[in-house]
Amino acid sequence: MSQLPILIIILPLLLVPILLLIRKNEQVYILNIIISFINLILVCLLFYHVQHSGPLFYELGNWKAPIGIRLNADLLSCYFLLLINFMSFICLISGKELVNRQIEKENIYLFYIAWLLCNIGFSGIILTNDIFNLFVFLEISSLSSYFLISQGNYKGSMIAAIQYLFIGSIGAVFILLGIGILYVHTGTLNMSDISDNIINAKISLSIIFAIGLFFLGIGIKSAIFPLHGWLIRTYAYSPSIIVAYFSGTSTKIGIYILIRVFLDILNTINPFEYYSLAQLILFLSLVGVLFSTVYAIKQTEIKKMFAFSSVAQISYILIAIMILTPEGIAASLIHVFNHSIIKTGLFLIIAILFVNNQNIKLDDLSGLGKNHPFFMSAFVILSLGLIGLPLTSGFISKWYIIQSLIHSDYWYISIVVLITSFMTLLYMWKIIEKIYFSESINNNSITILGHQTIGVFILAALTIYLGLDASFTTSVSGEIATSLLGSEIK
Amino acid sequence: MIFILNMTLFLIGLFIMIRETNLIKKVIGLNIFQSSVFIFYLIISKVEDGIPPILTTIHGVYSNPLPHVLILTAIVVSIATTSLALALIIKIKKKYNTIEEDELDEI
Repeated sequence: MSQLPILIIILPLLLVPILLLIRKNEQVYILNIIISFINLILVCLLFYHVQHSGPLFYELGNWKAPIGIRLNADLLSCYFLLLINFMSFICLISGKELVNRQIEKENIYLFYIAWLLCNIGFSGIILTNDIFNLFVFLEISSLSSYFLISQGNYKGSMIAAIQYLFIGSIGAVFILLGIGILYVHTGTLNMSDISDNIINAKISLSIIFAIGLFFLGIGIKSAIFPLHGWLIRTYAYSPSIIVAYFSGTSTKIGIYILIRVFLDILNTINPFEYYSLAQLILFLSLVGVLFSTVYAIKQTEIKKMFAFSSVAQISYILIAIMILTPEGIAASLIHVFNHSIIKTGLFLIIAILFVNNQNIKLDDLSGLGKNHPFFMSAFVILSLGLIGLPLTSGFISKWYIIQSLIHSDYWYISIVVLITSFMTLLYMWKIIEKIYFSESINNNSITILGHQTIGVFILAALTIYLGLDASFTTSVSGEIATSLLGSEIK
Repeated sequence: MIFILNMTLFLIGLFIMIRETNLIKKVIGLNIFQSSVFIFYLIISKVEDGIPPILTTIHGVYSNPLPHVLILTAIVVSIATTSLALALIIKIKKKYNTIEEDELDEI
């Protein structure tokens, strides 16, 4: 049991060089599926263990904590670990056909290896208790994601990849400089140690500078409102399956780093107090919600519409975090989980329907409801979840967000959340109307294979299940929020 | 003083990345930008009158070796980023016959 955290990182990492030697697309895919499945089981075991017997630490090479590097599996890590590995597995099992049709044949095995590396990077970010390790794992996942994005067969794929490379590297360097400044002030890189030592450090301008650098770096990574430009381009030009994978993982990792750095490591000095950073972020997220929802309504291209919708949902998550109450944190964690499931499902459906189509217009969807009634029902369930109608998981998380807002000092923000939720209905309804109430236009070319749809139906079923019985997400996120901010939730 | 010079380097790198449209120049800007942070780590590890941390018979004040080790890792990461960027630029040049960003946006 105590070896679980390291196994989750090291098993796939050991497989990577072996896969590079095999070089056969089919075998690489099967091994990738197997290792993802093993990883998912290990993560579930770890989750169960942590939930029942408390956080698990793993000291690498048995060097004790401040000197050696430590892996830390607490409930927050396990929650995100479960989400990331589950999304990766779902996308892998439904993505085989999409990859074969979209990626050049000689690059397919490299594509799967980069995918595996990306997932290792994400898992490493989540598990590590060493802040410099966090940077290294961040770069592992970023470098492989640049490669994954560049493999799209659209016109702008490579340009999107290089632009993301530049902006992602700027973000990573900001984080690196922030780590350096924290190291100067605390003399340690271990997260728990930093958190203990920083209380004694005098709060000088340089620590506040470090906080600002961290926020900028994380903001770029998780596409917080004014820094969201890369997300729109990336989602529009990446390979379809990668969009589905990233929409559930990449930005959520940014949220994880935000929670870990600001509410865990630096929590002892209340980093959001300085220069009213919390209010600033709250204001930016509010503008972000309104702006991106309006843009989503104006879009006629489906992928860009969903990308703007993702920016809006990230802003909801940030709003819930920034009111800085345990309730708010819990609500944001629930929304992270539910939104990942819903958005990945929606992007998967779009990917399965139009693999090689760069500009998917609204009209392309017309009449699909008649041709593929069963498959499109999953789309309707997921869109209802995105809007936040009752009986879906989206309702639960919106409910908790609004409830936490009403209980906080910022009750008037809940009005904005309600209005923008209604505006979500406007653009999602446009799509549903096209699917069910318009004449079909030469859509007969679309064929849906049975094994592709498994992932979509699992995600749709989860959306319903988490809407009916939200005890898993609410109890776990409640526990995490209590352990972070240290007071009971009403 | 040395910190001001270092931060100037930091800002120059950032400025080049924002200002230039040529992708190769952007990569150069990225390298300057990253190097400035590496130099920052080296500055903070220097101790006044410190000797290199090598095991000898002289026991005195020595400079902190840890940031050097960290920066070795960061340099490897930076090399990987640069090489990936250059590889992508070669591909872009072959496909679109230009590496100016404003011309690429029109495609």
